[in-house]
Amino acid sequence: MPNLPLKSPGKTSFAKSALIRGKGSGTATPFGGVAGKKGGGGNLPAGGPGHEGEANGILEGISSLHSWIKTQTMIRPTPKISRGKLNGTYEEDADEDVVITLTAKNPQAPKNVVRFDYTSGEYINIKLSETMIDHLEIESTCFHRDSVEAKKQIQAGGGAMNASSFRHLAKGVVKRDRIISLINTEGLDEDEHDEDLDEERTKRNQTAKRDQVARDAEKVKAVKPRRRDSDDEDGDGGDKKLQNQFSFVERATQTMNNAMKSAAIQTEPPPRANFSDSVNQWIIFDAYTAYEKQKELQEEQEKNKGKKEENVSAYSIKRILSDKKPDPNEDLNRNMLKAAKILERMVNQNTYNDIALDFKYWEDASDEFRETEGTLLPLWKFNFEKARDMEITCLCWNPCYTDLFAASYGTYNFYEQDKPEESYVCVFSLKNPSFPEYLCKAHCGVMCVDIHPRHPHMLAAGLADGSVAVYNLQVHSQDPFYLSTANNGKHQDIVWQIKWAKDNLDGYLNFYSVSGDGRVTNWTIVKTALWHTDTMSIKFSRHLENFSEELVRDNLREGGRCVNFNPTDETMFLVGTDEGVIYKCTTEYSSKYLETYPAHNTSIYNIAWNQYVPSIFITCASEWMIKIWDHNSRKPLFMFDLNSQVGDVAWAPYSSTVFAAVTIDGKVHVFDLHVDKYHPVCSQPIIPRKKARLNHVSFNLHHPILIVGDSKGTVHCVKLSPNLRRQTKEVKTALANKEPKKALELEIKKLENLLAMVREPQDNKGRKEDEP
Amino acid sequence: MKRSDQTSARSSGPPKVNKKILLSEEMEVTLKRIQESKNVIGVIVINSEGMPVKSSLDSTLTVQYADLISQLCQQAQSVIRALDPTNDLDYFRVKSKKYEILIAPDSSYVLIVLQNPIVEELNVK
Repeated sequence: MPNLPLKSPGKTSFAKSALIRGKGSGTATPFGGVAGKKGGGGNLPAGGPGHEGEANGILEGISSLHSWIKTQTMIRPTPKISRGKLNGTYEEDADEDVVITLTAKNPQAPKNVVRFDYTSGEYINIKLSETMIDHLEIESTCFHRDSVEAKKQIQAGGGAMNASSFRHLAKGVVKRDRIISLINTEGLDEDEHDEDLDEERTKRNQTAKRDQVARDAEKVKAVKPRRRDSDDEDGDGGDKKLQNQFSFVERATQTMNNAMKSAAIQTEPPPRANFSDSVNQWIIFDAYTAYEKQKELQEEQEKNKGKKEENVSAYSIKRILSDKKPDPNEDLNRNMLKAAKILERMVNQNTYNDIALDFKYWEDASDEFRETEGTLLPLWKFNFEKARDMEITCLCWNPCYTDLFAASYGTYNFYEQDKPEESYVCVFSLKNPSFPEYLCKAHCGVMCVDIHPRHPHMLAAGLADGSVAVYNLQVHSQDPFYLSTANNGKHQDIVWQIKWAKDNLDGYLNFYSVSGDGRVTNWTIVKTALWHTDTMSIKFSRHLENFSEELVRDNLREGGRCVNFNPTDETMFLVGTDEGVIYKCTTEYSSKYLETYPAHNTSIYNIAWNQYVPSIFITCASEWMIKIWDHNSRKPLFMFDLNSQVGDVAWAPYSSTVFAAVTIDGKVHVFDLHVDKYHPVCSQPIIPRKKARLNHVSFNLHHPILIVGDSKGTVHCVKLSPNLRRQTKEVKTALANKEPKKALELEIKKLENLLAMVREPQDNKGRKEDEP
Repeated sequence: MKRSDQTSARSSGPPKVNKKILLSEEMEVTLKRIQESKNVIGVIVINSEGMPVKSSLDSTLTVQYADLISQLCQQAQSVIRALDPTNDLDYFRVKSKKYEILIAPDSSYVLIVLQNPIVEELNVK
């Protein structure tokens, strides 16, 4: 087993080197066979006897010296496990030089740091560079004179404590000591640096050793300048104070603080006014609309300026001349008037609250128990203060506004015809029973009135002195718009009835009037004038015995009391006369009658065509009778006796078989032919007997009410109970299904059926007696 | 004055020039008629500033009514117009236990009528 003792380099072992010499190289030992070359240095002789021999040789020398030292052979266990060697022995291990070095490397720093490198995708060894340990750390206050901080300090004037300055300091001390020692020994008194010297001493030694002193002084002087030179060499370093952290001076000064004084100024506050406003959506809206209006005005003004300057100037002159001041007041008043009217209505509604509700909602429940009979519920009463003494002479509903009706005031008293110096036509509204909405003045009693069906503001009135007047309700004037004069075709007698007709071919409004002078006149409103045309003159019907001349009969005329146009045939009309005869005439032929009906014996008060069956008409006369006719027949279909003078009769608009009549004894009679052919369905006194006569009656077109005019100037409004408004089931269903035409047909059929029953036996008779 | 503030809050076009209201004859007649209607306690006409122009009641009551009702008018108008700026208030009633106030406001005036409710039933006949 060759042993190769490994020696670490750089190592010396003194002791062993001696032994090595002792060994020599001759003998081959089991250990150091090869090692012999190397001198087997460091191996202590041990082991077997061979060693002993050598050892003895060596040791002998030693042991001989130290015979009393027994040679001890040290036994070492043979190393079984070799640490990094093939076959290592302890000797070799002992010979191993262990090197101990002082390094700055940190032994504890990790030597095998790895990082993952993303570029190569591998773990790469990283060598940490800073693995140094500080072995010694001493804080000092020195820094190198060439360093930045030192330079700064020198510049600041602190001076560098360099070697020369250090030296000089030291020198200064040394030299001073020397000088002191010199002076002490020689007794100099010229030494500037020595202030601590004893002056006595110097004086003592003065005389004796002046020469030496002089020499020494020279030396000193020589030394001085040298020192000074050395000072100069160092520059200003020596005398200057050094800035360092040891010498520090703090200085402070206190300035004078001026006394504080506060000055304030107070002014008078500016005048303030509080202003508050609110902004709402509607305020913004108003602002916008006002702005728009202004814009429009401006544009118009500009346009006007551009277009016609002359006219504008004339217009403006006019405006200036005319009184502009009360204009805003006028507008104001107008608005106020409107509001006041509404308020009046509100007041009345409150006052007559029950009536208003009744008008709308009351239905007589007891009608269910009465089979056929109905009742009339009194509602409002309309009065006009100024016309208190006059009678109601005519009633007419406004065709467009269902709550307006016109009532004319006059008198039927023959002797008092000229009495009313001022008479009125009042247009009342159901909403305001206390005062008429419109007022039309006339210079004498008004006997009849009619409202144009399509122009509800045009009102035609016939006066007691024979003139006709047309009022325009749009104009806020109470005077007639047109008035007929004596020159203009005024009637010679009372105008008994007036009726608007369809616009003629030229589109002018026209109406017919019939008066006691026997003329039926057609009046046409042509722009601003009223033209008349005598449509016909009613010839005297009865046979007159004229003893003097026979031609008189042709000139004699009968007074006409009423006129009514056929609803379907505009040319056909009926005239009722004072003699009780009805003539059927046509507008196309003025001289001939189409038919003559010997209707009554007294003057006919009213003729009314049935709206559903236009061939039927009803008449009433003062002789207590009401008759229903078919215009084709000269005999009446129905006759009713009312036991009292009949004032007026009218068909109901909602049914073909219902009509109402008023009598002098204050009763209103309502008939429904469908229900009862002979008796009235309702016979009710409206006003107490003998207080007033009922003069006129009229149905409202929309509401189930009736207005009745009496001789006291009061218009009574009554509501019809359900029984009086009966409609057959078929009609009701038709109306419910919104088939007005069907309802109409049904109504017509109803009447036709009725008439058929009546007519049949009479028809033949009628035809036989059909002679003019 | 709070009054002027409130009226200045009304912004219906240019400021009103006419503060004096001259009532036309017709207007006077109508007001008189209303006054003489049944159960009417009083009639008051106020101008746009809330000053009473014409009244059938005594002065203290008139001033009170004028002030309070003009405020109410503005509120009511604000309500109607805020709901729909194209709309405007025509008139309104305030019914209380003892009486009813009928108010017709406008930009330049307010008409007020006080009426008592009907206690007895009307006999028509």
